[in-house]
Amino acid sequence: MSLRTTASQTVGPYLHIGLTWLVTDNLVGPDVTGDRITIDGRITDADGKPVDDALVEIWQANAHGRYDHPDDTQDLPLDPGFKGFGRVPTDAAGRFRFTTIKPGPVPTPGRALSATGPSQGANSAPSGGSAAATAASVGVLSAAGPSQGANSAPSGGSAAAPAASVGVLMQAPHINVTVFMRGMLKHLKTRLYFPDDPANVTDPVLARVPVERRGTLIAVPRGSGALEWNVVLQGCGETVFFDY
Amino acid sequence: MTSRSTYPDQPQVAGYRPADRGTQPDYLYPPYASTVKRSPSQPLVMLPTSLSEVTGPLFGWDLIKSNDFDLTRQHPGDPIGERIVVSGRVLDTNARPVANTLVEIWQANAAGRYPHPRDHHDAPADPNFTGCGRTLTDADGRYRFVTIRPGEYPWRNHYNAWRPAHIHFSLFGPAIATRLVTQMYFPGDPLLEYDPMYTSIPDERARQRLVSMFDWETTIPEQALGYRFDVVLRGRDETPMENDLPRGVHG
Ligand SMILES: [Fe+3]
Repeated sequence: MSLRTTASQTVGPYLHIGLTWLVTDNLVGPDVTGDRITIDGRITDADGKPVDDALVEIWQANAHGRYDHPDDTQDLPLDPGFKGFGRVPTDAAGRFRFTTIKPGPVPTPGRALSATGPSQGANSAPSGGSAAATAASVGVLSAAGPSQGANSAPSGGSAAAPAASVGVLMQAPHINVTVFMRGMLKHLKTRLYFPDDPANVTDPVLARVPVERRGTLIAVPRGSGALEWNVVLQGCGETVFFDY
Repeated sequence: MTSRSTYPDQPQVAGYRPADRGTQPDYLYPPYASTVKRSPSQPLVMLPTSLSEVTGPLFGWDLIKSNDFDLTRQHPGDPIGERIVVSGRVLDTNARPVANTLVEIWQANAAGRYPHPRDHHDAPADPNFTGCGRTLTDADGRYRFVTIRPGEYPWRNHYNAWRPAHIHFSLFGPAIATRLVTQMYFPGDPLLEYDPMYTSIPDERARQRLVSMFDWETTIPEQALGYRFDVVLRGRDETPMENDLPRGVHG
């Protein structure tokens, strides 16, 4: 038996009534391991006008790269003072701020890259890719179609993976971000990545983003743990949004 | 039914199936005017499933106060309006209950007014009604709220625009992939067909599933009418086999 998914609807302009009881702008409890960071951002619309009635939620792994969730069975420590969930509304200037820690890398997950050749799936993509293939050749799939057997990535490119020695391809440290607002019939999903993290180069998600747009996902350092990361809903510098 | 793209040699995390075709609005829906400047113009980038998407925040009863489910008992006096019971189940597309998940609701008062600084509708405020509730589902995915029937209210989307009576719902489910914010409507509301939020949903049956049903079973004699509203979140793909059978086309 299968049921059909319930439709999404906007949070509307009065979301604060229902959702701000759970505001969590500081994710860091006592004795939490990791580098403290603050994330300051601003949400703007197609005209560059600040969005003053949005809600931002974040979800992230702890400093060890472990999510506080039963499906994360990695043999890594949980941090009792760190749940990994944050929620804040934007202010009158469209700004939001989180205080948190930099998450560790998380697996994609996978098995030894050296194991077999072509990946599974109906349509394996061309297998010509050598070491260089990791990043550039993984394309953008259209929003319209989470379609049948969407392109499996090229099969060749194993050499570039940093974590190949442990047999698991790691994702670069990132924070999962969802954005809700009036005028948005379903929430937007994006990610924040960290500046100058060497793992960004081989991150398989960044690899799916056209090179010229990757910068929208990477925060800008503002000194002593401060990061700036803005969300542009539409137009020049439009943030990359994901479907998953 | 649909296979998701995978990373090379990364078959081991079972993902959540995409929402069924036609059930979800697009970001851009010009009849709802605010979508025009707030919707992305570039295509979304499709992500394969990783641990980041199949995990998400889980909440417990420690966050919930005993009167959070009863919006008529949050102030010294009784709110004005018709008391109702809103209950139902949270299920996934595999028809399995979604247990212990946080359900948050918010709504206007009986006159169609929110106690919110941006609500300038000239209708009476109700000091005994905030319009905010929350609960967790039980092991069978059931939830229950007691509230009052919300009023319709005008908005400025187009000339003489009125929102049908509705209750906003926010749900998490087991993963960030199952996060859902929606609205529950009431049966027989003549405003539904004029409402661009409602009509933004392409599939007519998917629209109708946002309309609650009168429920005699949960109606309390002499006290409150019952309305039933079930919510269906994305269900999980079959768990990949230990030996990695090809994740191509499957049932
Ligand atoms: Fe509303």
